[in-house]
Amino acid sequence: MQKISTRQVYIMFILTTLSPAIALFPSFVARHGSAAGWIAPIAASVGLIAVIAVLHGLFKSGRFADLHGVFGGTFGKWSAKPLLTVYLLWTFALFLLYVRYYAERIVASMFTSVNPDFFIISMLIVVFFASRAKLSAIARFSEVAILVFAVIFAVFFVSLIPTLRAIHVLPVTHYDAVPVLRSAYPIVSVWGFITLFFFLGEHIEKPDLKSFAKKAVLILSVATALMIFLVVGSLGPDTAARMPWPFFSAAKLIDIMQSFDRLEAVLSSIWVIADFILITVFVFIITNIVKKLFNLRESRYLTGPVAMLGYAGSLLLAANTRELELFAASSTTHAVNLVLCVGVPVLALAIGKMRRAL
Amino acid sequence: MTKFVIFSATLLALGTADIASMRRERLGRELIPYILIAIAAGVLALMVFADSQSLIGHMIHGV
Repeated sequence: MQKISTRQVYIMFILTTLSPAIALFPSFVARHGSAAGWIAPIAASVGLIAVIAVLHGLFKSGRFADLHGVFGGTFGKWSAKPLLTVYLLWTFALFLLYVRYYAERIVASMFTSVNPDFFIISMLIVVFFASRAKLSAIARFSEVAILVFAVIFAVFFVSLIPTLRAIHVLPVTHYDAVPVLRSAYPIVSVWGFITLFFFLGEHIEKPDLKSFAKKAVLILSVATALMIFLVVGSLGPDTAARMPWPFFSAAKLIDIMQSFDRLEAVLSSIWVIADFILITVFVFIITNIVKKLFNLRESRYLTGPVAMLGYAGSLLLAANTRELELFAASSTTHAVNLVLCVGVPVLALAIGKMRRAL
Repeated sequence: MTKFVIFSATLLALGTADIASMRRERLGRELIPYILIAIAAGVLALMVFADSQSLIGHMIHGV
């Protein structure tokens, strides 16, 4: 099996956070952190460093290849299976959420009169074929995609600078510490997805999480902070907090030499690449968890029914964008994410150290 | 109804193709999760095409 490097894992991780980042972060951060909200990703980066340190602690001995092995070795074989089932159900829920979010975003920004079914089916057909291939192919595609996103981000940032109002993002004082920490909570919860990548342990070369970690955390926190800074700085915290897609609303303000505008449609279509990587990675994670749960030899057969379930489930999940937002922004969703992506690995590390299993 | 028939036919066709290519010696074990996920997909599809209340709607407003 052709394995992927830890560097490729980090690149895929950065790309998978882009979709939730534009959907959730600007409005949530503007609501709770107001003008100082853009500092939240910097504060959240401390949480991400802690999660990476915990994962490094779990895998540094090289005794376990993936999280299934870690749970079996620390919690015991009989506790690992129910825990894995919980992870499977939650990963399914997130998979359905992001499939539907992708379709709703395309409908809201470009094709307002088209049924989201069409976009869900098109995406899931592509994901079905991609997830039957090797993970290394997706990892290599991600390496190219991240360069495209770097250019897009640079153009977006530079074009938004004229619309920026300092009063929307400044001043930041020590009184903002508590609101900033509150705004960092959902960011850490989404960045905790890095834990889920380690269900793909057998596709990853011996995980050496320390290499490239600093660069990945720096890229992610600076890019997210800049994105929030420009979106909230252009629209204002009150407006950004009330909008369903503040990122695309900010993009509507871009007008280059009164000739190029409506860039939100271009951005939305390019963002499909990030959605594709996110959804494909989730299919890989789901099929790998099922493989471990049922002791299967192959997992690629499962991509068909998982894709079909993705179609039906994403349509049944929510009736409209408002319900999606309620679910995605609810504190329960973030709490479950934090427990599974941060809490359980911390517990596994503590128990593993006590039992000398790691 | 038509949508559900198309959905079921696709699921069945995919399933037949997948099962045909599975290894015979471990077919029983490999089939269990496959069938479970396919049944879950079928049930969700039935609910969607019967215009059921959304899952998040159930959580917000109750059953």
